[in-house]
Amino acid sequence: MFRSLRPRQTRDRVAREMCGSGLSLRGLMMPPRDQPSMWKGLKRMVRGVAHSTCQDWCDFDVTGTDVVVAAVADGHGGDKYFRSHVGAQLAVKAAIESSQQLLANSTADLRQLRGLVQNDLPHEIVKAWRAKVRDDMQREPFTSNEEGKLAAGERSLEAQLVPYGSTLLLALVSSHFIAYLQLGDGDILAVGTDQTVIRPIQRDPTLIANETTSLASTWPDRRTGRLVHEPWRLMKTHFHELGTEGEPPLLIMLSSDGYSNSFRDNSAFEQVATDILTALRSHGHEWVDSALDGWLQETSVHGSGDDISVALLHRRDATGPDAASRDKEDTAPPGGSNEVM
Amino acid sequence: MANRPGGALAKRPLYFIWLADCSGSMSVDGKIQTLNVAIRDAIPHMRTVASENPNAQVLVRSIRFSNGAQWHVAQPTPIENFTWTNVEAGGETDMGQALRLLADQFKMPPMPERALPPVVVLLSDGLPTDDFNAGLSALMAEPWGKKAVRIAIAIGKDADKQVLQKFIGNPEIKPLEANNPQQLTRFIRWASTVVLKSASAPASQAEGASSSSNVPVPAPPSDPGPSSAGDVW
Repeated sequence: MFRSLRPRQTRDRVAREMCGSGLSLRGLMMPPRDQPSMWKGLKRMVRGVAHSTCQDWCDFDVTGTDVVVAAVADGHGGDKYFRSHVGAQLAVKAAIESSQQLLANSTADLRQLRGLVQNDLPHEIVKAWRAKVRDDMQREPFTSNEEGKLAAGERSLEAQLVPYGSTLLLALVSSHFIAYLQLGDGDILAVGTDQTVIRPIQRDPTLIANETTSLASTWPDRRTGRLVHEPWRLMKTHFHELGTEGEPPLLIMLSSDGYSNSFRDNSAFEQVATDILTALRSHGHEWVDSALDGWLQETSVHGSGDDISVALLHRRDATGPDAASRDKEDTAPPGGSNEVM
Repeated sequence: MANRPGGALAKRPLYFIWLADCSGSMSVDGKIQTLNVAIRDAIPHMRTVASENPNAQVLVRSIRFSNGAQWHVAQPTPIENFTWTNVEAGGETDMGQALRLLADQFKMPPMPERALPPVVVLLSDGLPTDDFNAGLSALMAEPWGKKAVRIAIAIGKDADKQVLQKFIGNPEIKPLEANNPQQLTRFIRWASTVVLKSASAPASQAEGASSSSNVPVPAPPSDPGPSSAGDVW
């Protein structure tokens, strides 16, 4: 097995030969275990002005040697989804843990990895989320007041999942691929090395007027009429091979819909990703981390009023060599109109 | 604090649309006069609701229908600037055409993706005289038509409640029955304030959820106000 890093073209040729032979790529291009990941992460959640509890949750893990991962979830809120803030937390945990478990020490080749991520992972996430929800219900059974809010006559497990309803966004990055998964509203943006912003998963045009697909989505089985809980069927995925299909992006941003709903239009929102990248280059990771709270608060107050959560993965080389030593708090990043309509 | 990332911020638009029956029967017993006064009187209360929900931009429009249907207030007008010009009664009850006119405006564009669920209030005292079902189908063929909060107020006992219930499309919400001016005023006030408030800050709703409405509609006034034998429509 090759251990040393080779020029990209040679690595790609070897990768194709090894894939064709069915041999695993793992270990070929991974950084040595004692060196930091090439990715850093940022996360923040702010409660919307109209809400008493933040329904969003987000997290990331860049310590893995097989894959780094970020996830955002948005609980539905309201009377019917009275535990959705918990559901969102459990969704993020389930997504991150399932991703790591599925891909840890995997010797699968790229074709198999694609299948694992796009077919197996959605099932695993839903299974893990259901288990966590069941555990939560056992620890904290529904009160009589909460029971009264369940759909009349519905006491099945599927019906009891509804109060925990949440969306889910997920990004996985390894040395060989990047994968995205989305269930429900929210946005996934990636900024390429050419500074263009792309959406790996296109917005679902049917998800309007605050209606969304959900981890709690059920529908009646056509034959039996019983409620069926298979939200993996509603998940959208995108798998991108690195090397043969291009360089990894400089920045990946997952955000709940409270963020994009705060902007006048799509291009005003997508500008967020390039502006943050510019800020990382100008001021560095720590500075952006300290500014995030204020940015999201201002956006929520003057925009949607909704909770906003953001999880970002950015390449270490995106911050530039001298950015960490600069601390220009009063210098505005280039670009970015701050007009409020 | 350093400038935040991203372009211009904006509130989420919330379209509120009156569909007013201006057929000839509305000229009887002061019904159209009551409708005009009640909608005008509701405006300051709508402004109060809007100010309490600063992240929603309430934009009001209205359609009048009798012989055909026309925009009465065509431009989505911020509630802060909205005024009501009296409508007059005379002619048929072309409700289907009113729904077609509305359906056109619920296409995307002009409806923006980020809008809040629209609120549509249909006021009628009779039976449609055109193809109501075709108009309703056109409205419900638009995603925004389906997801709008649809409220109906039956003015007087001759109003076709079945048609109004079909328009509402939600078995949990019934047409409101106004049989005198006080009741009509009260229901117009409720629809333009309580329902508006609910639509201004709705929670998310899972697709395919058992409830037919993606905005929880609070119960209408249980005591619709005083009735008088001389004022019953």
